[in-house]
Amino acid sequence: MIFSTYWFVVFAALVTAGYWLLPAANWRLPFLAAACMVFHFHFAGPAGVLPIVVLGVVVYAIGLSRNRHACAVGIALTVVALCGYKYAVFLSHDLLGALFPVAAARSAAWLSATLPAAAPLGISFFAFEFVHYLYEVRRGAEPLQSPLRFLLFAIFFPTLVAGPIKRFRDFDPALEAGARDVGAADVIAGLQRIALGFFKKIVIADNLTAAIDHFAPQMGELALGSRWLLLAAIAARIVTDFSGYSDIAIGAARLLGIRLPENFNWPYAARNLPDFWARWHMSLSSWIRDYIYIPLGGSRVSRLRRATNVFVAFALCGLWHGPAWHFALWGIYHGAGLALQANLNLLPVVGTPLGRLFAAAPPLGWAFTQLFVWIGWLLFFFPTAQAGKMALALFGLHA
Amino acid sequence: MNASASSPKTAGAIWLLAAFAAGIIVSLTTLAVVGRQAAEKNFHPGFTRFHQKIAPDTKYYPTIHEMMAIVRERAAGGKILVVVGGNSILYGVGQPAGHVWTERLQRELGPAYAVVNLAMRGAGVTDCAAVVAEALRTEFPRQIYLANASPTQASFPDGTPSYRFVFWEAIAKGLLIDDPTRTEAIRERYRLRPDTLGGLPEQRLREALDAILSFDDFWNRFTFATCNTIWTRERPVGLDSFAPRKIYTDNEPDYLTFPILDRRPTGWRFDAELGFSRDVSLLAFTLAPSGLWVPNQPLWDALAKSIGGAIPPSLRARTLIILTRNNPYYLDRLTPAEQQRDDLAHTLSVQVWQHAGCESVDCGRGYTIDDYGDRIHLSSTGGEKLAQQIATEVRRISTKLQY
Repeated sequence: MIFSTYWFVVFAALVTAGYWLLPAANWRLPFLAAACMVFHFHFAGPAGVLPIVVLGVVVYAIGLSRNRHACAVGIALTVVALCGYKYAVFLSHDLLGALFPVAAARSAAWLSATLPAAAPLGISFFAFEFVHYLYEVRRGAEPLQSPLRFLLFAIFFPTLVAGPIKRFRDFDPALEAGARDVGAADVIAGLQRIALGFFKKIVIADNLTAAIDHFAPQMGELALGSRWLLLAAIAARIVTDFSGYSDIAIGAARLLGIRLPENFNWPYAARNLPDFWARWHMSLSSWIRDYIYIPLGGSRVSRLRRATNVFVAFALCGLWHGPAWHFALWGIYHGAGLALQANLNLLPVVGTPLGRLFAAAPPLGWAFTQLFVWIGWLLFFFPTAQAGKMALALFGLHA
Repeated sequence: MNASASSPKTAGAIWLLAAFAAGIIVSLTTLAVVGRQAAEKNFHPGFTRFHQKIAPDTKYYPTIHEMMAIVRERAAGGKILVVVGGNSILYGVGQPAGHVWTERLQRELGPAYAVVNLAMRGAGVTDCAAVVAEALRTEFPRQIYLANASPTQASFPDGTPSYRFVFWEAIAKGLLIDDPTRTEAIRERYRLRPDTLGGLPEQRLREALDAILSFDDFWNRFTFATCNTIWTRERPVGLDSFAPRKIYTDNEPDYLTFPILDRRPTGWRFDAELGFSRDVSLLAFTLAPSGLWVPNQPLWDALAKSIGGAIPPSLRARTLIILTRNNPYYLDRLTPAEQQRDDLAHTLSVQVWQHAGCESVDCGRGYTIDDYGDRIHLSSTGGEKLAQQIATEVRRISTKLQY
């Protein structure tokens, strides 16, 4: 991954030094924008830069127009771009293929000839940021007037590849504050955060990844305790890997005096599922809440409709992580868990006592939540069939 | 936004930042100094070879200075240096510690010579050992470098992708000859095959940083002597995962103890191995209507060209390339025409290497089935024969070069 490269380390060091040494604060943002373009061009290449340039220009222009219809078109365009680059092959193969195999084969051939081999760098992040931007402008927010500020919002290098997903009304003032007030404390805090991120990523997550890759295929042959240990390793791996990346991103921005939103807040301390989602990948979960769940009606609708909204929101949340069914199922799994928790008292016989039990014994709620989340990681990490077998193996069962 | 930079705002902040920057500089300098010292002396006591637990197979990447330190210790006292490179055949797969062919070679040559086995699995003629020998060309002018190759096997000028990190590390540290032909060959390699470029730019950046900070030397010594920080599947689970690498001994199995069926397979395994034996020379010749094998000239020209770009001219006279043959268990089952073709391929390869200015010898002719552990690797008995044959060659070259 990009943050683990020597190129990134050297680049971040040079950009930080250059940013600090600039004699005037109002030179810093143009300098930073140029650096972001170098970063993006280096890792994405010319073909990868084009989509964000085209989409960025369109979104910026639409934002300036403040036209509600144009904003809606811009949002649709961004979603189409995201789906086209990231999900077209998956949708064509897995959905169209099930119904119309011949058409799917033709479509797959056309897509593979048309689309780049990999989706443009950071498209999952900048597409969500563009949708947020246009949605807020459509609701009456003041758009970013300065193309420079918009450019930095679109391709700010620390957040481009792994988030956090930014909100422009927080980010823009943070940019200005950074350029104006960056201080020694920022550099110290930034470096500490980066060191923590690298420790999590390289020392913990990468070692766990190697061990998981080795032991997961033979999970059924392990002793029962070792299977649960493997699950714990998977849970530890994903949180250290992802939060490590977020730490590096947040730390790299802090070197420039720019404060980014937090992405993780001790998710494995969560006492229930809503609490987990308030602590896990917070910039994504809040985005899903604000731009999918609430527009669908949120919690102001009937129980059935609310449950449906949760399912839709979390299925999309799952798919955001990658074009594969197991990601969608992981999202639905969490959606089901949240719906169940919200309606626990409606469950016949056991519902009310269980609700009372969890209220009376918070550690029990914590244990159930973590069990649910950890087993869910199997769906996140592995193809559905393998995840199912591994989940059964945890309880001494074999498929 | 303010027109001028007003930060850091206070003198205190400036001092804090200056102290912090100074701390970073002092820390990095200290680490760089410690790193340089880490590999100045050999930290592999009783080194025989880079066995699996201290090799790239298990994510341990020996540095050029680490390998040079091993050589320096072994060849101290004006000995004639014999650096062994090449792949698993010369590494001695199937030959347990104490019975490795290079140990026998050392005994054959006697105390006037120092044999150091730096061969690695899957390595080529220009990999690790070649780089070490070249880096030590001035310090140990009386040296012979030997490696193995199969017929028509071209050499990458900067090493095989798995091991080119050593070449580029040596380049970054200014240890190699500035050979324009090699430079051009490298450029051409990546121009013609950009797909092989892989992470080379990132690798070169890493080596450039390492040349200043010596973090690889520091970290290798730390993981070898104090605490291993990288888990691999060959290591135990639990706290022992972090035990230093020095606790592991060379536990290469002995082919002679393997069941006979493992060494002489039948069925599909035999068919597959026989196919590989046939393929050694398959593309090297075409059968003329007269019944004679005619060299496939472009392939042989490519071999000659690759040697020109891979080994600097001044080093060729002390370079001995061993053409190793496949196990007669398979060769004897090739058709007479295929056997003739295989024989010709070895003979012609030796001539091409010699024509380029290197020494070359065809090994394996007359070896028995028991001299092999599998299709290509030698057993301990085969290793003894190889050691005897190579000792003769080494002495001859030493005399020729007036060592």
